[in-house]
Amino acid sequence: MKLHTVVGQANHVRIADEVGSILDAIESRGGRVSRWKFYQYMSYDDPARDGAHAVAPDLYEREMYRVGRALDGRGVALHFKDNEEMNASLFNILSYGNAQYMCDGDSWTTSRRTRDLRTYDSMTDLFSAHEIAESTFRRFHEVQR
Amino acid sequence: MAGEVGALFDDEALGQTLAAELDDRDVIAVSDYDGTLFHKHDSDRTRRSVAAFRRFPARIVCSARPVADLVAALDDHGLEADWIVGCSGGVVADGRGRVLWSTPLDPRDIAALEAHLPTSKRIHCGNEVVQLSADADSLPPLPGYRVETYQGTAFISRWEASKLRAVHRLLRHLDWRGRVRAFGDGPYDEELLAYFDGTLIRGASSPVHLVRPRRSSMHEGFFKGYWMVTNRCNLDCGYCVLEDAPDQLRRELDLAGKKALAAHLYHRLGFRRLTLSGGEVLMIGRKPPADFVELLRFLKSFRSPDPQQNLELEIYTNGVLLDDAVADEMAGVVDQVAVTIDSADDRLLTVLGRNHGRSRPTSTARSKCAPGSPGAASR
Repeated sequence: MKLHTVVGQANHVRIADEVGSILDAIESRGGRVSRWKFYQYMSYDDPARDGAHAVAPDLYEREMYRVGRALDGRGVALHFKDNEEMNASLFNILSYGNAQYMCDGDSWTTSRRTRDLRTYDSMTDLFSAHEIAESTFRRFHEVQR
Repeated sequence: MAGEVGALFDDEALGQTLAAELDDRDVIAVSDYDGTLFHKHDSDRTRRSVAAFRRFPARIVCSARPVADLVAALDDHGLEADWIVGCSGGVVADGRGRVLWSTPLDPRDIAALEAHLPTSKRIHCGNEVVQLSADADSLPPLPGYRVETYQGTAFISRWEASKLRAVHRLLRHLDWRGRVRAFGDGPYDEELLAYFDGTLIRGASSPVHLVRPRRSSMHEGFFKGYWMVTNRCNLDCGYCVLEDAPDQLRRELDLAGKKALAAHLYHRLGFRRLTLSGGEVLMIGRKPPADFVELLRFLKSFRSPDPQQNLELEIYTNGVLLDDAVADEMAGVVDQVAVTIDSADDRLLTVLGRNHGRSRPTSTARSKCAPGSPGAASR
């Protein structure tokens, strides 16, 4: 199984001290964790929400370094996903059938939408209809078979 | 992990690489073999790739194949390599296949692995066992080992046995101070390419196709996608913006629409890995988790032993609705279950909103944290 942790104001200072015991607890019950992904809280352009949850990049980096140290040797592949990577890789297929994506300079509220994905005959059609950087999309979303 | 990075990305190595680029020093080329130099169904492309690679004054060829196999293959194409990395980094040899060193599995690891995988086979380098091969379909998660899968067979090595580590050590062994050019085509070449800023060789998008015809999805590559199948959720996390007003929920695709979208993503857009999320993915429809289970059964039809045809599935769930019946439905369909856990402190989880809603997920999830159960924590 895989674990996710959203790193924000409330938990960023203590999470490095907790990851070992969380992993211990899961393993002691027979669970096996192969991957663990830590997301930096992402801004929703909502001052109240961001004020309560946002964590500065340098603090995020510092604490994720501590997390890496704490889990070193535990056999868990770690992925620290900061805001930069989250924005660059953002391509959410939404429950309405379309997809949300961002261009350079976009934020959550200015993020773009495709049409219903069923209206595109191919990914080429999708790329040509929108300002989706194909090379960036492939970097984050292409799988090799 | 930190040790892994530190061992490879040290200042000396990076400094040498930079100095070599600035000084325009000699080049050593490192290339994967299958799919990069050798193209099984395109002899003309193989000939051109080999000719291009031969122009480099010093050459390392890497492969998942055993060294002897690779020596014979290179001979068939009249290509001489100076060094060979075989078994995906488990063995390093000179150009004629004389072994310089290997990275064998520890005998205790072999015993433990064979106990779990009784039909596995040993792959030797001399007297050492460098890999075990096993049926990929029946392979359990093996954290701490390196596992590469080719055509349904998984090859299990020590974590330290990788193409990148083998090349890194070889360059130090040679005291190489020149430039390095790396080429590869597959997922198991990625760390090598990332480290040396190498070139990813693609199938249809190769530079040899000067005029690229309109491509069908089968030739555009394969993709993975994050699909928020529903906005419904049974928690109320403070850091989440959820569009779950009644009018927004009414706009959601119904189950038939979700199935049609999944089929379109697979057949027309080339998606071969989907991460199903929400909201809470098990909350689809009016009587959770019935619609989720039906969607799973539909998605099962896209499973295949052929890696190019198989649809991999990952589920993000908070675990609240995850019971044995749902877990049974997931078996054989879902490759990975991911759960979110933001703290070990129940009070903090309550502050974050992760203990709100219709259940207390930490206690529910604890009950699921048992061998054979995919759920184990909270969201």
